Amino acid sequence: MSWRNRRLFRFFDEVQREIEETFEELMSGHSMWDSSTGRLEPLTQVTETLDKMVVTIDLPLVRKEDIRLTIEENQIKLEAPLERCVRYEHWGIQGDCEFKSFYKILDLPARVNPEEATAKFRNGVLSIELPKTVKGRKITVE
Amino acid sequence: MLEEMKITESKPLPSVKHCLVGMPDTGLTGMIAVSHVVHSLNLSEIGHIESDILPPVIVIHEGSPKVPIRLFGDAQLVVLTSETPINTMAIGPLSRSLINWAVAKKVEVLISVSGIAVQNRVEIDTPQVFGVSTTKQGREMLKEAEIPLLEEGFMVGPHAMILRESLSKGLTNIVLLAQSHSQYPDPGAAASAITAVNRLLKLSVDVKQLLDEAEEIRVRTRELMQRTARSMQGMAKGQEQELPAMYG
Repeated sequence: MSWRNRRLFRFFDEVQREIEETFEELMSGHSMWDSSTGRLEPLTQVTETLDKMVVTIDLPLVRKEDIRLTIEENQIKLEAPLERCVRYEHWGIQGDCEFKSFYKILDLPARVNPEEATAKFRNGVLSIELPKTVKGRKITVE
Repeated sequence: MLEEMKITESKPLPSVKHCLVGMPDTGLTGMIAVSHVVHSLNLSEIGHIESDILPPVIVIHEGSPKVPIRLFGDAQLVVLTSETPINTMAIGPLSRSLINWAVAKKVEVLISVSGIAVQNRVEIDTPQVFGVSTTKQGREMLKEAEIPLLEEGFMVGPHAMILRESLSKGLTNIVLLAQSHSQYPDPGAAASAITAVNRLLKLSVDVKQLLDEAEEIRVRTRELMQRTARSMQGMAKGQEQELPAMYG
């Protein structure tokens, strides 16, 4: 393959990636806030290993004792009031708005055992360890 | 051929001594850090960057429309920052235009501020900052400022491309990488990066206000962080977390 062709293909790859990114953004585009309820959606990350899932949730301006967390087999529900309201003034056509809590319902990618879940809160980040209900079966490699 | 970026100076400067760059990427570290520098030093807006390949975004501040990538400062220090993530296709043209501009302005040192994701960030109270430089002069500045070198690893994103362009033009570029959350806004990492910039450029930007307001900044930058994280996926940012393929 010539250098010119490789460069052209790389350009098309980049265009394709841009289209995919834009499409993904359009499909996933939703507000992370609801001014009617005063709720904000927190940032979350889910990592998964063979036997457990770890969910982290960024909860700035939240006190540990105020976090209300419910864990079900396939879902996490979180509500956490902010220790002080966050105000946005003259923002867009919303005008002034005020937010007072984080709220999140997170569908889990695998079933977990809520009885064995553990959670800790450090520097404003909630970390939840969730052992999976269905573990992989160990087999002997011959 | 893609159109390059156009740097428009509303207050043209004949030369610039130092340039500081912070874009939205890992933990928004660079963007938060340089925005705080602009605010603390009360730097005026002196220009902006525009291009057809940037997202069609205008931000409105106090009723005035603004281009998201803007320049602030004076002949001693120019700060470049963006209020929107730089998409993959725009990184190359932006880096080339920036470095051509820096060479034309006889910039002595261009410092890029960024974060480097660490898995145990939540356990770290004061993030450490590492440096990389294109020239011996830059490495000596890092040594004098007691900033350890990043010995091995990958860099992905705008600061990697700026480094590459600086290498080809012989410009002294120092990249500061503060230990950071990967996908949560990290004002703590930004504060560490500013402390390193203070030592390198003999500035005295106070980070107390930044640290005092850190939690509120984390609340207010969630959506930009999410958009940036999606943008980083498109540029294989995860490669920074890979172990190097070294042997022998």
